[in-house]
Amino acid sequence: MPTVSEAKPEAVLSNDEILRYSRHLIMPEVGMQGQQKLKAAKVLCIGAGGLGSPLSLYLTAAGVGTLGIVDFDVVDYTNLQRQIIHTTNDVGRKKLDSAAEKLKAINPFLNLRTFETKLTSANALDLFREFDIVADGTDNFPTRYLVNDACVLTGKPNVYGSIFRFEGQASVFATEDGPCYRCLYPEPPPPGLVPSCAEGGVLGILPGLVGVIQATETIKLILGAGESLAGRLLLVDSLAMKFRELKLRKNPDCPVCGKNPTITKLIDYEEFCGIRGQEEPAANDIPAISVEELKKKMDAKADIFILDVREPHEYQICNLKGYLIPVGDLPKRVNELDSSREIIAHCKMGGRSAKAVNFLRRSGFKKVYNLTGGITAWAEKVDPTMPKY
Amino acid sequence: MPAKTVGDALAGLVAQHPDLKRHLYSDDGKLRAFVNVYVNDEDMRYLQKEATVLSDGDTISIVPSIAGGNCQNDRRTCNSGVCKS
Repeated sequence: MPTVSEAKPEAVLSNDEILRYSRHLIMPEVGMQGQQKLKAAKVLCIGAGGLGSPLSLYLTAAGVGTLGIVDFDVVDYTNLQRQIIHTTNDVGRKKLDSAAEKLKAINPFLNLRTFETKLTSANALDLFREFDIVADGTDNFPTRYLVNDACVLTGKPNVYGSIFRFEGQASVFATEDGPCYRCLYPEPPPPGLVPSCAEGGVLGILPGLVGVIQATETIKLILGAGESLAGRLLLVDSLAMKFRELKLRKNPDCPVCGKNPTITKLIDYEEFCGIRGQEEPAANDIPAISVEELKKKMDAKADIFILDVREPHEYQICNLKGYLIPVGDLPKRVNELDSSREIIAHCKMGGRSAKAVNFLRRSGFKKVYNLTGGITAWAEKVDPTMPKY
Repeated sequence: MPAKTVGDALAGLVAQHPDLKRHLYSDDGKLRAFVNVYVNDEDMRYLQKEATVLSDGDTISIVPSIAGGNCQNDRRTCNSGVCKS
């Protein structure tokens, strides 16, 4: 972090900037020195989504001089419930374009650098070297481990935040003496155990809470002020509205930041997270039927039994008048099904119902098929009046 | 939940909620690497692991990794503050 004695001439504040940052400047903990540090700082934000929205908005407003954002996604309607940097008019636009417009409007002094790319093992190290701090607002395990390892290898602090449903986690990883993400979680969960993103949901305000904690930690690292979350995992429970913290220790046997690291360069993170080669073939092996074929069967009044393996609250949003047994209840309710009939199982996207078909086939059901793409594909290809969620 | 050690408490939890078993333990009966267990604010890996002895009022937390900047995990693996001894 540059100290004020090394403050570069470009970090000197203009009169307009002094007025803008007045409420910072009158606090001795920030002051002119701190505001110049903010202006000299270069922060890389991974993702312009739920966490990336409050992170980039507040860092920009606070006067961070250079902000990089990595994202290659496009704004869609389901983002708007929580990704507050994007508006209804931005649906269909690149998130980077949408975010850039808002951030430049908030603070024209910002030097914004956008990277329209997926963060990969091939580009992460070069990218991270150009910044002082990395703020991780990604939404998947391979990128989490990639960001962590690249931070350790380049010596950049990793300001971490993660959210799920009503709960969040935040910490600062990969500081010089502090633990890294792998010290906390050496391995990701196997993909079979984790349903996809769309199934769990998240409370809209939660990325606000956690993203602002990340912005706070980023600013504290730049100022060198206060007590960083390094070595602590903050747990946020929005339903109980409780904030708890757990102690984190640097693991001397950590494969990337330990005493004898075995990971000395970036690896294939999708393979590490078991995403490649494991899930795909299994899904392909499952007997399936398309929504168009199902429509034909229904129009022909064929004797088919539609099994809906979603949760009851999803059934309320939209349904195909199927028989509802949530996938988790299937083992104990399998006796409700007639194995002599043709059964077509569906969920929202086809993931849970693939598991259900797999289970039923192993339980001796021979005429059971997975509806490819789930009720979402039905809404897209057969019945456009059906809501998507 | 009455329990002498962390291992007892987890076994009791799984007995009460059998669905949790595959989320917490791998097929060979080991606690999964992405599930961290804390006694109060301390990671049991740095105590005596499952043999850690509990005192009255200790809180065990099961803290699984979550990936979401949106969300990408299973709510069933995602409860903290699960049981008290």
